[in-house]
Parts: sequence; structure tokens; C-alpha cells
Amino acid sequence: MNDFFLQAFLVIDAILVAPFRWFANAQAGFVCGMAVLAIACALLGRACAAGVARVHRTKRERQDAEIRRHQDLSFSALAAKDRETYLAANHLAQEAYGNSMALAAGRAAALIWPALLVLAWAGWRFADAPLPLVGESAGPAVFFLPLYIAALWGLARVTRALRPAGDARAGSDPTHFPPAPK
Amino acid sequence: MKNWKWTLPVGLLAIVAIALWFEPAFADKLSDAIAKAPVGAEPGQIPADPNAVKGFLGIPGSPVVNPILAFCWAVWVGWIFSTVGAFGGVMSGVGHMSVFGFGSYAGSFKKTAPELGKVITDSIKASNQFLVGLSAAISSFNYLKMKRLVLPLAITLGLGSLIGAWLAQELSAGKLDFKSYQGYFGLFVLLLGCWLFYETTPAGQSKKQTAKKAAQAFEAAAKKIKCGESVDASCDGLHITQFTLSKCAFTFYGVPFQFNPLIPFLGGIVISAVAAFLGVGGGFLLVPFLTSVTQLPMYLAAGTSALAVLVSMVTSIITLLSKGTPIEWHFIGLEMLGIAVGSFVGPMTSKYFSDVWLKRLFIVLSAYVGIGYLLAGFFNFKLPGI
Repeated sequence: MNDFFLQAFLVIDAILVAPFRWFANAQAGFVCGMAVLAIACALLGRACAAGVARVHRTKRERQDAEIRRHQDLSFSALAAKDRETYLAANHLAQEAYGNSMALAAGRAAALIWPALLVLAWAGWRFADAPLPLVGESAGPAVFFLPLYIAALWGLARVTRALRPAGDARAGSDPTHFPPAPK
Repeated sequence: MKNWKWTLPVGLLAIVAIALWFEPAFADKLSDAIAKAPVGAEPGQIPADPNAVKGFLGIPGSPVVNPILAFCWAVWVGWIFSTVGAFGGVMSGVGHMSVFGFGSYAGSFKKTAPELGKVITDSIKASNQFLVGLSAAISSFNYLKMKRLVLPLAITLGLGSLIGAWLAQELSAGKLDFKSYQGYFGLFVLLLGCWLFYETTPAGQSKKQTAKKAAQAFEAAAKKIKCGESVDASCDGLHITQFTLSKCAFTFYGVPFQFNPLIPFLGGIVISAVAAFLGVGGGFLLVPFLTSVTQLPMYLAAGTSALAVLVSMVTSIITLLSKGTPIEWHFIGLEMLGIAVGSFVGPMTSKYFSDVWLKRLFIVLSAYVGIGYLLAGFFNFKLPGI
């Protein structure tokens, strides 16, 4: 079993280190490798989170609908100056929100696991190695994190741009602002 | 503050990056603690053999966790998150402390090498917090992006959270032995179990039923009223009418609300301190606090608490890193993958389980784990499996 894990690790290591060797210049290679890994982590994370979100959809929609229903009701109660009903509906909305947040934790884990594993690998791979600009005073996380955040941000922009207008509106707010009371 | 939704998270991440910049300089704390530990083959000692297997945190002779076991346990945690709810956080702590054997390993150094035991305890605590809190913080970020918050309240709550998280880590990092941590964690789990149990009792259910009845009665009455009633447009949405050191007043849909800003500030300190000390999220306490104490609408409470959760998490991370707490990133990454898989499988399998029975199962589990940890931590009495 240990041999299997060792072999698997060596294969993963060979894949992860490949982009660092695309340039003959070590510093350029390091920056390129970090950028490629950051983009790959963002892509893989988004794909996994989308997969989990897809499976969660029915349950999430049910919970979001419940939150929305209680929120709408609480707003209507507010409009009618009925504080007691407002507090009751608000309490029910809060309970539904708690369940929704626990569900979201799974999607968040799906988003960030590749980045954490790459961070761990980079920490091991470049341990005690002087890095560009910072020497030995900092770890690879200082390069990886900003690139990863930029990749996530860029990916979100691209996804939003590619998404049909109707979907974008619906997906922007899981608990839509209810209409003003009439 | 026009672009605060970008400047705030980027600023917080910049602080984390600066903390990570200095991380290698802090890495010696573990090496120093290992060097001070006695050498030998007994529990609470570091093996003399330089080729001894290095497990948790790279300490010679520490528990080596089978990655398959770690992954499977994380799948279980993810499954709980997606079916039962926040109890998954408790189970992740149980994994680190009991299932993987890190707890008993840290406890073995209590008398022989307390410094090393405390470093390992801090690492366990940090692992719990990363696993649960980081996911919660990322989830909260979506609500923060929607700008649905009462800014003065978010600032006071965030400030309280910052102080609470910092104080808890500053006062406990490097000073808390595993037994004490286990005892307090057990107390927390037991209280959580008691609350879950209370919710299933007639008294707990009646409050919920009353709320439901009031909501249904209003809904029915609202349907009978003919539409077309106009509402003064100036009454829509949130308007902050007064903010001083002792009073924050606002109207929401024309209904006036007010609270003393000191209350969320102190609440933020206490909740964040407890969350950081125990290594749990904190959002699950902040939202009920906001809706019950300030009576803030859920629509705004979610976003407002999100800021506090983010601030609290970032403060905890920085304080832990600055205290030289070692973290097994690959282990956390593997567990995150497991949680994602468990969360994927959860909704597919939950239809085969009754919600009521699942809740009862977790009440029993939380009682057993809570009492077990409490006894083991404070009274040195071990229940089987703890």
C-alpha cells in the first residue's frame, strides 16, 4: 500500500513540477509554474464546486425558497407594523439559513482543496530553496496565494460573461431581495 | 469606501500574505520543542533513532495516519455537513483528537515535554479551525458581496470579533495543554447536544410552532387583504437614523429598531474568542445573536455576520501563524477533498435516512463525545473510544 502511495505521489510530483521547467531561466520558470498551478487549482476547484452545487441543487433550492418565504413574510409583517410576526418569521428564516450555510461549507471545501494540496506540495518542493525576489525569507505561499486569488477572480469574471443573462440574474443572489410590500 | 467589497477582502488577504511571508522564520518553534523533549522509546519521548518514521507534523515517532482513513473520515464529516448541518465541525474535531490519535499523542507529552505537547495541541486546534472556519468564511463571502449589511453594526461586530479572536489565540497559543483543550471542547459539544435535545422537547418545539403559527396566521390574513394598498416609498429598505457610541437607531420598512452598539461589540468579542479558543467557525453563533439581540432582519444579519466571520478567521490565522503554530497543509487539503466528496454524496443518500432519527443519533453522539471529552480532559477518566 505504501508503495502505491509513493508511486502516486511521484506521478503527481512529476506533473506539478513540469510547468516550472518550461523556461530555462529558473526565476521565470518559477513564476510560470506558480501561475500555471494557480490557474489549474482555480479551474479544478471551480469544477468541483460546480459538481457539488449541481448535486445540492434540489436541497439548496428548497432551503433558499424557505429562507425567501420567511424573509418575504417578515418584510410583509414589517410593512404592516406587526413586530411579533416579524420576529417569528425572522426566527424561522434564521433556522433555514443555518442549514443553508452548512450545505455551503461542502461547496467551499470543493473549491479550495486543490489550492491547499498544491500549497503543501510547494512548501515541500521548495523547502530551503531561495525564491525569486524574497530569497529564503518567505515561502512559496507568498507567490501562490495572490496568483490563485487572481485566477479565481478572473475565472469568475469569465464565467459571468459567458453565462446567459437570465441565469446570471438568477444566480447572483441565492436569497433574492423580496419585492417591496404592496 | 465606494469599492469596499473589493478593498476589504483584498486588504485582509494582504495581511494573511504578509503573515505567510514570515512563516519560515516561525518554523523553528516546533524544532526547538522537539529538541527539548526527552529521548527514548517510552510514550512522551522522542525516539533516539534518527531514521524513526515521521508522522504528524514531521515529528519522529508521531502517529502516521493512513491517508485512506483520513479521507474516509472527512467524507463522513462532509456527509454530515450536507445532511444534518453544523455538527460536521464537531466530527472533524473528533477525527483529529481521537480517530487519528493526535490527541493522545499530544497528551503524552504533558509531563515529559509540555512545550511540545502545547505546540501539537495548537496545531490540532488550528486544523479544526481551518477545516470548519475557512469553509464558513468562504461561504459567508457570498453574502458579503451582496452588500446586505448594516455597516455601523458590521464595524462594531467586526471590531469585537477581531479583538476576541486575537485575545483568545494570544492568551491560549503555546499555553494550552491538550487535556484542558479536550475538556473545554467536550463542554462545548455537550452544550450543543443539550441545545439540540431541547429543540426536540415539547418546550423547544412549542416556540417553533408558535413562530410558525404566527407566520401562517399573518400569511392567511395577508391573502385576504385586497392588493393595491400603497406604501410610502420612503419607508422601504434600511435607513440608519442615528449612530452614537451608546445608540444605533435604524428603520427597516419604516419600522424603527435600535440597539446599543456596545452589545454587538461585546458579543463579537465573546463569540469570536470562544470560536477561536475551541477551533470552530463562529458564524452559527453570530447569526442567532444578531437576530435575537439586535432583532436585525435575517436579510441583513447574514451579510453583517459574514464580515465578522471573515475578520475573525483572518485574525485567528495571523495570530496562530505569528505564534509559530505548525500546520499540516497536505492533511487539511486531503480532508477538504474528503469533505467535498462527502458533501457530494450526502444529498444522494440522505433520502434513505429519516431527519428525525439522524437528529436523535447526533444528540446521542454529542452527549457521548461531550461527556467523554469532559471526563477525559478534566477528570482523566476515559470512556471507550474517546
